[in-house]
Amino acid sequence: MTGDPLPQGDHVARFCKPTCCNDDGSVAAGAFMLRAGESYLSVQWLECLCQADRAAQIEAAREAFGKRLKVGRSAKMAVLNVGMTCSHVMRASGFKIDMHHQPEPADPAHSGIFGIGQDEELIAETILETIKEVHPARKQDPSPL
Amino acid sequence: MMTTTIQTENSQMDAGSCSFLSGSISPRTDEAPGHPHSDSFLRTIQDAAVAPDTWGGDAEDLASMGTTSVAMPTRDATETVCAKRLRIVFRATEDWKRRGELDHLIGLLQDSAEIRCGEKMARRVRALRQMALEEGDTEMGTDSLRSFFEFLTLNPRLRYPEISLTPDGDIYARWKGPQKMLLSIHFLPESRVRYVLFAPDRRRPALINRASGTDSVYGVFQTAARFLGPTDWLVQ
Repeated sequence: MTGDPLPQGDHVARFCKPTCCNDDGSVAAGAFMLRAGESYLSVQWLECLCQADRAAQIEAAREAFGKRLKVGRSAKMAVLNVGMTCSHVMRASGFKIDMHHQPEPADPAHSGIFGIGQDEELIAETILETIKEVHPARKQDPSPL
Repeated sequence: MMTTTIQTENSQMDAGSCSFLSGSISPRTDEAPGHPHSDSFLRTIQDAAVAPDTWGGDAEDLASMGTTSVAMPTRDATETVCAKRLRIVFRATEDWKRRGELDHLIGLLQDSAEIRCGEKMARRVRALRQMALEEGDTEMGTDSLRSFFEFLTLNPRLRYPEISLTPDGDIYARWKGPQKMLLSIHFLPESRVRYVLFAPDRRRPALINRASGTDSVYGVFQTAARFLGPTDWLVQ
């Protein structure tokens, strides 16, 4: 339901556009900063995608991102653990952030990270320390034979 | 009927870049694209002079822009012509500011003899600009890039940072050091910055102290040095 807090043990995936990644392919702090007018960061709640394993969840998240966003070739997807990220940000910076379910008709796993605006740069840098996995946001083209 | 003559030789703008208003337009070919003296910039002005729909004036009024004097029937009409002319100049300047100044700043960064890694940084900034254009929803912030260039001019010996963009197209530079030390700077317009600093506690190095704040490009490095201690790792 809209506004429900995500379970601490679950995971979310954040879309990171190419300009918010470094030239070595790692995710930069800009991926966890708000665009003007935004009040929270959009993420996909992986466990809500009803897939058997992480690989299938990532594939489903890719599809969901592909429907909403323009996914560049070097765009990435950063996976965070809900409880670990929120508690690390609290412990390290003193700021409380939360993740809530924000389902949309065409995107039932859509969720949000709230509280980033308290100190965007510091919170974004602290979140970077908790990234568990980074995946390409676009299915890689098969290499030419 | 009263006749008023406008002498365009006296129509000097305070920015030297607008001196093309006086007399005939003679493009210089030795300037970089986007520079106020460049062909493309002057072409913008000339295009405006033959495209009345883009500014709402008369073709005849505009066609006479390149001459040294304009004969007008009344004082009101004179003021109208002046306003129209200023509008064209303003629009062209804005256009140059938006598109040409980015090129100009990247060129300065690339050609700087003082800034270490200036060429490499310019390559990265150019690649980010291209990516932003492809993404289509953000344009690199000219004011942010200007602040970044100003900062590098003041601190030319800094080593190559990780450079990325914020969602709004501002430059974000990040230097990582030993023991989880970090200096991150978000470059804002008007020489302002937002910074983040991480450094191990001096008594208990396992603890990481964190600070953030707002400063100017002139003072942020000193602020960082006070918090981080020795900054050898930031310098090449």
